This record gives sequence, structure tokens and C-alpha cells, in this order.
Amino acid sequence: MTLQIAGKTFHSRLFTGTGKFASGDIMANTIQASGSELVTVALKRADLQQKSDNILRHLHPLGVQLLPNTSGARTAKEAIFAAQLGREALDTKWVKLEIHPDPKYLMPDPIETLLAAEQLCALGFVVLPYCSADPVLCKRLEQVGCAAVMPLGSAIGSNQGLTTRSMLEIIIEQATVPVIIDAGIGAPSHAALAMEMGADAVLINTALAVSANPISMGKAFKLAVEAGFLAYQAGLGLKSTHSQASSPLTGFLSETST
Amino acid sequence: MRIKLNNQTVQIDPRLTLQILLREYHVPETGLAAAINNRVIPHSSWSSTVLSEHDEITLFQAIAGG
Repeated sequence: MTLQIAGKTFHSRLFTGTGKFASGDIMANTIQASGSELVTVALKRADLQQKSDNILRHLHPLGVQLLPNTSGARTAKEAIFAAQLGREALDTKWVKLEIHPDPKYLMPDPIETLLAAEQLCALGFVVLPYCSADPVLCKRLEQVGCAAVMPLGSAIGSNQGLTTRSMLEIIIEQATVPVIIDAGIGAPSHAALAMEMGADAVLINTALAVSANPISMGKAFKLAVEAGFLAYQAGLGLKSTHSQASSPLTGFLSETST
Repeated sequence: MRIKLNNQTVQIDPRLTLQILLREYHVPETGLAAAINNRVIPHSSWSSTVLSEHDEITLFQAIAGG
């Protein structure tokens, strides 16, 4: 089943980042193996002296939706500036709003994020805000017009998985826009769990890039997201505190001993 | 007159437009964004934006990121 965000249809519920890969070719092949149709990029000051490998050369042939992020912004004002740069550089109104001034934990600033989201939505951007797994904040982001919410599973790049699980469950239950779990997903099993919980999509970067074989890992995540989503659609069994027998509890062994 | 391009001081002719300046530096028009004095200039305005003395032009490009 496809996923709709801001009028665009996605056949894959696995979104990917482009950071930390050893090369542009490995990055592109990993994205292809993952089946991802939405890919994040960052922005930086262009180096006129050095002709660095242009990332777009690797991404354009894949036909993916580009999602420029506002990484580096410490305030709403800086994030809005970054979003406008992204719109011009990549010819897209889509933006991953991320404001994380603290370099150790990269936790998203909720106040600046909400401020920026409201202004960017009013300016016509398609805003996908990276935020803490705060159910109240996610509803506020939805109310100001964000196209989705992107609560974190755990700290960026930590590979810890869904440490915010109980909060994510509330967010998923209450959201009326897509919920994309972003940050901290470290293994395909984490991604499968996210989908089994009812998340609409996941965004993965580090776990792919740091793998010894990113392309295989891309395929693994693809399968995990598909499996998790299918399981959610099929309907998972309820958990029980005690056993529920799978075989009939007949005493046939004692009946034959006469 | 003097302007700054990515923090480098550059001497240019007066009444030069942003588009002509960037063409002189072989800057591609796609995949790049330009700001003058921290204000983003849309591509559609590059040819009509005339530079002023002490303008600070910063160019940005997409790079890898999560």
C-alpha cells in the first residue's frame, strides 16, 4: 500500500539519508538497493576553488524526491534561511526541518522547531519536522500545517533503536498526518518494529552508511520495512501474560498406557 | 567596486548583475543557491539583481547529509 505525503505517492516506506557513505557510488547503490524514493541532503557553502564531487550527479539518475535539511541551523531564523536556500538549490518546496544546537546529543529544539515550522508552512513549504518523541509537540506541528511528523527513535547516529517507544506509540495513535520515525534506528529489526507499531515510514542513514556492506544492508532494511508493514496490516496477535496453547491439551499419552 | 564572494574580496565593475558575476566564475545555475547579505536571491531574480558596493554574496550547494 502506498504512502501519500503532500499529494505525492511513495511506494516505499523506507526513506534514507546520504551522509557518511564512503563514496557517492556506494551511496547511490545503497539507495537503489533500499528502494527508497525520498532522500535527504544537507547544504553547505559552495567551494569555488575546489571541484568537489557533486552529490546531485549521483542522485538525479535515481529519480528520488530530494529533501534538503536545515542541519546547522540553531534557531528558527537560521532554519528558515536554510530552507529558502534548499528550495533554490534543489528546486523543491520540501524541507526536513531540523534545529539541533547541542553538538553532543543533537536533540531537536522544540520551541525553535515549532516557530520555524509555522512560518515555513505559511510560506508554502512542505515541512517534515525532525522532533523529539513528544506527543504534544507532534500535535502542535501537525496543527501549524506540517505534512508529516518525524519523531526520533533515539539520538542521531546512535543506532540505539526505539528508546522512545512508548511515546512513539502515543504519537502514532494520535497523528492525522504520516509519522516517519527518524534517527537512531540501527538495525532492520528496529525498522520492522517501527512499522509493526503502525509508523507510516522510517528514515535511516547511519545504520546503512557504517555497515561493512551498505548495499546489502539497504536490501535488509527494505525487506524489514516491508515485513513490518505487512505484519501491521495483517494484524498482530495480542500479547498475553500466560501461555495460550497451540496444540490441543489431550492426554493421549496417558490413555494408551493400560 | 568591491564585493565579497564566499568571503573572498573581489573587484567588480559597477552595475554588474549577480548572474553575470556568477557566469564569470563558471558557477552552475542549477544545484546552487545564492544569498546577498544573508538574503536568499531566487534564480529568477539573478539576472535583474544589480550588485552594490560591499555586498556579501554567499553561495550554497547540496552535500551529503541525513
